[in-house]
Amino acid sequence: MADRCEALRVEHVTVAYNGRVALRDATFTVLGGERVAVVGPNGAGKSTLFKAIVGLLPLESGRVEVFGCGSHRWEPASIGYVPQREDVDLAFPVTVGDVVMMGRVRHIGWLRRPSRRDREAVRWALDQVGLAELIHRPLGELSGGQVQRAFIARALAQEAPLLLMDEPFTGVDVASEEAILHLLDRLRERQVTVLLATHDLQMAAEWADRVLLLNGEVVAYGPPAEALRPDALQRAYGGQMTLWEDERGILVLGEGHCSGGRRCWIGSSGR
Amino acid sequence: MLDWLIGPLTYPFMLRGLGAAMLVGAVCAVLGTYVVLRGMAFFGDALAHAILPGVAVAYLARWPLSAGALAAGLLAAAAIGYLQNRVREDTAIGIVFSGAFALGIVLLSTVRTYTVDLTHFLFGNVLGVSPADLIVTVILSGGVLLLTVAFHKELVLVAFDPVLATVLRLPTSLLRYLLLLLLAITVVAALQVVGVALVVAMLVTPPATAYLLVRRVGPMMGLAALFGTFSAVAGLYASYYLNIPSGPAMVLVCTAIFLASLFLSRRTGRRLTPPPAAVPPPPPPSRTKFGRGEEVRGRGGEPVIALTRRDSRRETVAAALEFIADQVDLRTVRQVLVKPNFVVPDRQLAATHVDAVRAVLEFLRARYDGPIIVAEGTALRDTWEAFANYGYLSLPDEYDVVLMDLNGDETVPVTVYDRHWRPLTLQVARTVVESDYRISVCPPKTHDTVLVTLSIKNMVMGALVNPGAVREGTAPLYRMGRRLPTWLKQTPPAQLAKRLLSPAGSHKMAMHQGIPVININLALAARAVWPHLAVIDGWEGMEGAGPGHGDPVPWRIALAGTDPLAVDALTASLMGFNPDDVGYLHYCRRLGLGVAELENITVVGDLSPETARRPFRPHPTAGQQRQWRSQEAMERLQALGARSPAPEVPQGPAIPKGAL
Repeated sequence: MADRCEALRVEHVTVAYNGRVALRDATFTVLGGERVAVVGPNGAGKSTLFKAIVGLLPLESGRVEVFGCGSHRWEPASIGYVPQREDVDLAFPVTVGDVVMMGRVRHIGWLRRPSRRDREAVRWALDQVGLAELIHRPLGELSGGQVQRAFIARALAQEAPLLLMDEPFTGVDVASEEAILHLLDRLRERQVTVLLATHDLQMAAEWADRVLLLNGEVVAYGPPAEALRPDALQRAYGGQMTLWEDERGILVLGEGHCSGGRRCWIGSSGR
Repeated sequence: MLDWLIGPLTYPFMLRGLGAAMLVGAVCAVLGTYVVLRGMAFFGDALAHAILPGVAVAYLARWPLSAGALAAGLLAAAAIGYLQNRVREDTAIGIVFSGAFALGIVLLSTVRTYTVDLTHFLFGNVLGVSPADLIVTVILSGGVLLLTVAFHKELVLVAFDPVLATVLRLPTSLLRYLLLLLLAITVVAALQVVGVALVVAMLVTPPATAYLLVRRVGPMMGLAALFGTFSAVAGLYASYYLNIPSGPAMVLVCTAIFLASLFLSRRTGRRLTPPPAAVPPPPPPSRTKFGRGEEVRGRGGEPVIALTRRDSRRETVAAALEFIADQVDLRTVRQVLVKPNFVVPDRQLAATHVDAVRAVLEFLRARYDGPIIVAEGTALRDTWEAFANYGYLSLPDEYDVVLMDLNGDETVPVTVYDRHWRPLTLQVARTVVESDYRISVCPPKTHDTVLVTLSIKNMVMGALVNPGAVREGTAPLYRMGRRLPTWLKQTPPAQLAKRLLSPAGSHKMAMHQGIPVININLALAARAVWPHLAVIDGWEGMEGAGPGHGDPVPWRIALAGTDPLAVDALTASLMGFNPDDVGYLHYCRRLGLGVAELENITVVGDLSPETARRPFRPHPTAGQQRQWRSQEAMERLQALGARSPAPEVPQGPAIPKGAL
């Protein structure tokens, strides 16, 4: 689509983490409504990139620009961020509804109480992740997958046009995984731009419009068929992965790269 | 009763004291809710103690005490904030808190009425509240409550999830300072009522009590305020009637309510920790079905072994199979298992070549259209890596077979011996046991423990699962170690390192219980997974430091037969070994699993055993490996009902009858 606007522009971004450069000179642009899978081995800088985009880590150099694609100005609430593992106290006395309402804090504004509009947004967000009936449930009584979905709902309640999800499928049950996948499809209909960090190359190849392959720097960026070439994968993963290529596509072998198990085809005709 | 309640209030000082105590009880509990939720109890306590020098200075200079206290509180908060960039936060708090408190005591000691004043500051003097004091308390408490209500949702968000607060670009630092400021004001307000030593109890205990009873921040705050107020009032009355200090009395009431609700929440089953995750149901118990040697051996009579040599590996193996095709009966077979030998994923010479497997699959597919599984479990690293490296991945398309990693299979137990001859249960892959036609396809190799590895050993060792095959970190070291000179490998440190580095949980490794025991163990375990068809691909064998790092032997032969023991015994003799010197072949013969006497074997095919004979250079440790015979093993064998020892098989080139 030629009329698509830019949703996110990352230019020559270098980020250090604990005194060590975790991401070097990353440059890429994401268009509004695109689905981008961010893949790479452990320590490749996936989480670092997300933290830099949302402002949790300072940039050593370069700049990150977020455009409220579709809305006229960049609002504080326009990035939804679901961290890898919520480092929150599950014994905190809040209900699921309370947690999701926290995503509305900027919408509600200072010195105000939630309006009907805010409560509707919370209901809608919980509906999207299939937790509507658990709205009054204390957070501590949810399963791991339900907690993950509650935090996704919180990001949805922000009504952000750009959503960053860091490994949302790690450690969740099958029901939650399906709910999240279903949700990702509906977000596409709403033209929400999604960046999703994942270990799962199969999912990246099948789901994403573009794949960002990282290993401390941007190794490849483009449509799955271009970014997930054997040479690029080899450069990103080195010895952590065994590849086999034939006319069916690329067979990836190794722990954690595939949703179904230890191996998967990621070629276009290999499905 | 009413008199009892109203009586004390006829005194104005009691009335003022009651008003101040109620306000302080409520405001401490409200702010204390944040303190409890953010785990700042120590900070609150420290702040309370740290205001003492400010109070002392104001007292000496005859300024309003609240002003001095507030100044000292803010100074202490700032000092802690600065210091925690240099040392840990709790250390910073400890340093500032004790230093300031000591300074306060020293300053107060210069006053004549030191003891009385100090006691008042430490434990409060609620009955000494002046009208002016009460007004100050009202203003401070009102201010704190107002700001708390105004910024409640932001303060809760920062307490619950600072990450989200940052992402939403809330001013997190400002909110943190706001909380510290509110805390300092609260402590100052509480000073006269309970004193610096006990203010933390009023901050922490009522919210903690409420936390046990309700599940949301708002109700928790309200209930805490109720408890705080009640404790203040009840403590004051107790102080009046029992003539005890009022501050400690209030704190004791708080503590009593906490203990009561702790008991109550236990009774009503309020969970303080998340429920445990559901435990997955245990897998269904595995059915055991062992094939016994006698049952699976096929027809009686003398075994016929094919020995061939053609222009290519594939043709050679195919020809060997054709020569014994009449012995292969697949009519009632439900599932065929083809077992190649991989050892490690990256050494073709040590592994079964895919072309040998192709010849076997071609032979099978001409006679059988049921399921065929090509399965192996490597000793190190990933079996799938081996399937990829050795070119097996196209087999499913070529022959409609299934590739399988036995290391990940369900298992059935098989009992062998440990090095002290105690029973030892190992796990073998269920697929191997349950396949009703097992084919072992492997190259002939010398071995580092049992002289030679051929079709029987290939099947047994592959069937033993190796759930820890992929111990990524240590595999390279382990491989490196295997390349060391043999004399070095046998030193105790090397042996220890080998044991530490070898894959965890490997039932393959557990099989190795010393040279006497491994040989009998192989024979015992072989009964569960006895091959129905043995194929030796001798296009290229391995001599010297087998089974992984020996040298190639271009031999260009293949052997096949339905008596694996006969195939292995014949192959061993062609490699220059006396079959009865190979411990596990000896035990297999004694257990009646097959024919090992070369004179009872019929050979068919392209060349005579004499022509095919090619002595392999034995493994460097072959001398030790021959020392497998032990009295203990013989006795165990007798107990198992083994046949009596057969007459010694003559050493030297064996020329079976029926040779071409």
